[in-house]
Amino acid sequence: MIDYNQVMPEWKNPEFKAIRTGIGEGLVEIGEIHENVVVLTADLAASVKVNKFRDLYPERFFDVGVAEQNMIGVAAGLAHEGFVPYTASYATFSPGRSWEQIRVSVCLSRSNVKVIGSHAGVSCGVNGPSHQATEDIAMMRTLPNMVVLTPCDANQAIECVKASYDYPGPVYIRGCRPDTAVFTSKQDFKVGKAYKYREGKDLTICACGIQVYDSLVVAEDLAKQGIECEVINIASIKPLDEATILASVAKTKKVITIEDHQIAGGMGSAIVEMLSGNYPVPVKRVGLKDTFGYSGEYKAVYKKMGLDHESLKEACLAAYKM
Amino acid sequence: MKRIANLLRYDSLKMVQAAGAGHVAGPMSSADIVATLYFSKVIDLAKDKVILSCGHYCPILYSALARKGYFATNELQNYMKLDSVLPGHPEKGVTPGIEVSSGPLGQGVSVAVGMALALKMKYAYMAHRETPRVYCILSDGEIQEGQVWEAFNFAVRRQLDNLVFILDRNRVQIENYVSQVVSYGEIVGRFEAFGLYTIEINGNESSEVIRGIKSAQSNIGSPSMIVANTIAGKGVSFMENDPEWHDKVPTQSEMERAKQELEVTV
Repeated sequence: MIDYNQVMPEWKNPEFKAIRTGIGEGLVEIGEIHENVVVLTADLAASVKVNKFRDLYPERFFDVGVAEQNMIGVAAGLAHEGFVPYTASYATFSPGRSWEQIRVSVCLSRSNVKVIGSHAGVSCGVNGPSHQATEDIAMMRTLPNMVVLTPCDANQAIECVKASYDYPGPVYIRGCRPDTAVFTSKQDFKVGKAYKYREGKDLTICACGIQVYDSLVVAEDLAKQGIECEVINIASIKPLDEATILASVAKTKKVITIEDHQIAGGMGSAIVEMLSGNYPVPVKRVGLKDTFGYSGEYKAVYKKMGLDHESLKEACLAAYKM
Repeated sequence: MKRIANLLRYDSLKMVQAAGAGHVAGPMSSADIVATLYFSKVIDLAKDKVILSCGHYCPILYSALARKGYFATNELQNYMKLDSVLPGHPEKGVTPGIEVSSGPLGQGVSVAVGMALALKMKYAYMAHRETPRVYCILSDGEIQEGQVWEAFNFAVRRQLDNLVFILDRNRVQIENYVSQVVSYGEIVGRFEAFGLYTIEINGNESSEVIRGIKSAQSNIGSPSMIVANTIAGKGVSFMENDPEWHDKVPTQSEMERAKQELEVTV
């Protein structure tokens, strides 16, 4: 049973728009309302879709050049003086290259800096593994004081950016490159909340990012075979919505986690860590198994990495039989 | 001012001795710079910012803050101890008067750039000489970090003339003499080539520090770099110019000799 308060009724025939584009639109929205919003990028304004903000608010936009470590430090300095800086780059460069700056200049100082990592996951596609951040969730969620958010479509990305402004402290927002289904109706986004889009009694599917829509499609497919999956969007990986996940698992007794990230340290790991101390049940984790991605069109890469529809369906069936 | 600087030096040595850990060469070499910043009125502590990017120098900064009244001087003996307000490296929100967490080298430089940029934006209506300034102390080992040069590129591009770097050029780093580890070429020329307004001074003379800062304050259109030539371990003969004293803990008898040489009476 799909929750049509949250999922658009026409979700099976959606428009396509990139999550990164939604993030850029969210920045424009908060920039219009709040004069203390500033945006920094490291020479990637157009790629990470902060060019609209740049064109509208040039006096609050800073391209620091190809220098991600300095970008984070400058953002921290701006935050110390009351601005709310958003930094935007490819996730593999920031947080990737600027991790220690985020750790000390941002997290240890509790600086109100928001880090946007775009082109995350192998969905980054054609740029190849050097540009595909598949460890960013792990890097960010181990940092004290850091919040980790993974919006599932462009609509949610807008709301996620708005919510990040209201949250006082460091936030990481994960964005993705390809145009993907826009299927959620615009809802208030809450830090620390998971969103249940489909109810089911047989298997809990915890997904994040692009994989949420794909999970819904798989769940509808499996329903034809009489298997009812509960689909939960783990849009806030940290803090994790334990209550929503535990309530589902108490019912289904088995879980599959699906993410475009290493299975070590990612969203699935966060779920397993939480369940192991609360309600241990079998969990199957789908993601990258200690391997890099490949260069290629993203759907082709997904097929090769086991993140395409058929592979996910098989994985869910296997999880159902656990 | 020399008397104050030596008092801060002795405070720092006592802190390192009590903690059984910490750094000596940098706090001693930079004591005249720190004393001048906090006790000479050449900067406006009510609105200007001081950032210690080379966070391991913190004993000298903690001493200055205590002697300035930010917290009680008897707190200094708790340096590095659990639950004290004086952690091993500066942390924002823990120590009164510390605005930026620092320690991992290079990071404070970028934060200083961000703060100077923010102050320029916030006080754009003010005349240049009224705009709050950021004074950032960094060490000559620290500039081996690439981030520092990233920060210079951006600060010069943004014409942050309310930003003053003070390089404590004491020529030692933790393992060796700086010159044995890397080659900086002609360092003043290098900063100038990056577009920084560069002034070279004797960093162990307060009058020279004041001259450097005043020169930086009158410069318009670019950030400044004061290259302060100092002596590592300055003030105590057997600690001077010796990389071994970068982070050595003084013994009781060494402390007594240090006290004599620094002419500290308290």
